Amino acid sequence: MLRNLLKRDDERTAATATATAARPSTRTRTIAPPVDIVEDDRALVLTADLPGVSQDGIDVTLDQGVLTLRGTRARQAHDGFQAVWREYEPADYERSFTLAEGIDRDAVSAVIRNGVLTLTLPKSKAAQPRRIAVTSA
Amino acid sequence: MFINDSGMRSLWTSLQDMERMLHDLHRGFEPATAAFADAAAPALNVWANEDAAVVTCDLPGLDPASLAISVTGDTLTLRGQRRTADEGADADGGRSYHRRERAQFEFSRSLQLPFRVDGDRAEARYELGVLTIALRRPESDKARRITVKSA
Repeated sequence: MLRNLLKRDDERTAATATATAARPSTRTRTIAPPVDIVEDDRALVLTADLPGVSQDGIDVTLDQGVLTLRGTRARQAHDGFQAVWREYEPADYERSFTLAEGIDRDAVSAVIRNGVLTLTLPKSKAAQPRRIAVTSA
Repeated sequence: MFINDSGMRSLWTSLQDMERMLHDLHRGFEPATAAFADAAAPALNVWANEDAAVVTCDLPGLDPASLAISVTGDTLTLRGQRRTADEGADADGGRSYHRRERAQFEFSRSLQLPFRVDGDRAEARYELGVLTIALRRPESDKARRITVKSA
């Protein structure tokens, strides 16, 4: 079956994160968002937490088997206020995955709602399990 | 919480403390994000000026019906539930998780603000998975400028 449908490709993301950290702190840093990946017979569903990212700020590309998610956070203006307590630093998001064969690339759909991106990757017909009818001779 | 010279716990004791805090932030002082990143206490940022405060919190996938925000004196309390409902996956066929990094959790958190706030004039927005709460000081409680007369 499609056990190895997704291979980890975090070396790419780690390299980007290191390069971003080396730059001066005026640039917003980029982090890898947490994801859930569920597979069933019909499709692979990837869910990612991207708080602060609007529909316009999302970029999902599938290029030669590599799925890349990029999210740019909408800047919250706090003019006239000063930061008094800071427990988190808003960041942009990026993460890549390598997909094995078997995805119907034309039927991939993405929805973002309340900062959660849901990516549905339907399996191509050939990759779906087929029930084989047994007849008695 | 910050501890000032007299050993008492206080979020914000004076303008000087605030400026020192900002100076630390600009110098690259790392906030304790790891300590507050666990599920039971989502990370909060607080912005304030003399008359008002704004509290922001990243809560993607929040169940808005479960959110309860309450204000008492100078304390803000947030309660709610974060869902990780599986949308788009079919019911038929066995499901297997390749990766599970997002947690579903209930949270409850109280935060002491630099001043008392007026609960009747509090506003909360939940957009793009970010909760923003705007709070105002009651008129009677605002800082007063005291004029100094020379004798």
